[in-house]
Amino acid sequence: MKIRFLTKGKKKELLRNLEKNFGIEKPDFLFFETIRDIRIFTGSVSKEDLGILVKNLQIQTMGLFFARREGGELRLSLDATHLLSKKIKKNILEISSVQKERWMNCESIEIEKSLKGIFIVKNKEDFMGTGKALNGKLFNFLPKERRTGNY
Amino acid sequence: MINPKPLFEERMRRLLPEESDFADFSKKIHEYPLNFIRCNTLKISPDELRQKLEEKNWKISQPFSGRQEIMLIESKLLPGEIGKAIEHLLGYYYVQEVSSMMPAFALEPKPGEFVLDLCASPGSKTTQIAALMENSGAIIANDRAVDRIISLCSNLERCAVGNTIVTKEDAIFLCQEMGSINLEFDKILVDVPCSGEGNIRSNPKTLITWSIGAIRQLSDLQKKIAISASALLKKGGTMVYSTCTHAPEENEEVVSYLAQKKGLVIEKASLPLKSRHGIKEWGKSSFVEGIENACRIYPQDNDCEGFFVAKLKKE
Repeated sequence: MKIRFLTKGKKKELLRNLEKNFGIEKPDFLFFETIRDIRIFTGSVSKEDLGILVKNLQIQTMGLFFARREGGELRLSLDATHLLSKKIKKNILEISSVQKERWMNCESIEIEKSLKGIFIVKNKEDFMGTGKALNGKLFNFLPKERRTGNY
Repeated sequence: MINPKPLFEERMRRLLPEESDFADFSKKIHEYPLNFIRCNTLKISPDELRQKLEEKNWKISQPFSGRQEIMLIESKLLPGEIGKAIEHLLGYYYVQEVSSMMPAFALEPKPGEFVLDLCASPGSKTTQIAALMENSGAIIANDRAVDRIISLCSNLERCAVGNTIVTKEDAIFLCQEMGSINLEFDKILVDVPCSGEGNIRSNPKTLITWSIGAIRQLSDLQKKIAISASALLKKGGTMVYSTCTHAPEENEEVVSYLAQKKGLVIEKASLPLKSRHGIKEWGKSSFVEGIENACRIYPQDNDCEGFFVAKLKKE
């Protein structure tokens, strides 16, 4: 696994994006990137020590999938929304319990046509990842292994 | 019902010499195991999870007062219902047999520590250790098989484990590699591949595949893995050796070898399940002093699957 820690500039941009879009202030993680994704390491090992491990061991993966950048948009992973549940303040889209069942089956759900962009999806106290609002629909990015329809 | 091979039965009778005890064991291994889950406290509290599951009309109990994360689903559910529940897909719980939770409890990982989980897939114990560490410190979780690594990574993501580095290496080779860069760990879990005699309730085919030859081969491999891992333990550090089998060759014999070769001290682990002492001799072999501190977990004592857990300290 090729691991690159985010440069200061990229990290600053990411933090600004998180605050502007979701109201998330100063998440205390070590950020790094793979080809498409941003991942985090929540542990308390220094960047230098992690660097030694990465250099010397055949690492398959490290930390947690945090977000994907696509077309200038930042989509938080389902599990990132769980870890940050207490910090997410903006662009939360509440869905009903009936919609929740459909959402977990990876269906797109109908929403107000005026909504546009990336939203964090929530039912009651459960955060359910992010979706993209476009033309009255909320499109779903749940990974296959997390969908009810996969069983 | 699959009948045990005569040699398996003969050996279990030696381990359980009282006729009624052996009869209880023989009866229990043919019963389907109970549905235990472990609340993933990285995402939700046990109280909140219990409430959610009870709203689905599942009957839930928490049989261990000091370990609220251990939950028993008492309702009769449809096949696959526990795995496909939304709460499972969201990563609020891990389907894990209660005896399999014991090695991580024996290890007692603390926030901030550096932990090695050498044979980690599919990740039940790694995710449990990460929860006990509150996602801090660091865990190196290793397995050698690609398909098992995929399950491990998938479970780590689902449980929002962010403090883990996953490696795919032969366990012995990995220990040598880590030794060469002077890595040392506060805690090491060595939950080795084993003959699986303890898992007959969930995997009755073990009774068909069981052989004494496999036990002897596994014992040799387990010794090599355990010795390699122990070299990476910090002074004052703790190593837990565990198997899901009853065979003394894979349990007391390995721990005894390890304690003698490496001067590790066998400590008594504090576990929420009833356990019996490690045995002091088997056939012509006598085991090291302190082996009685090891824990033998039998299905008939707790209505669970069988396990063996030994906690060793480097002084």
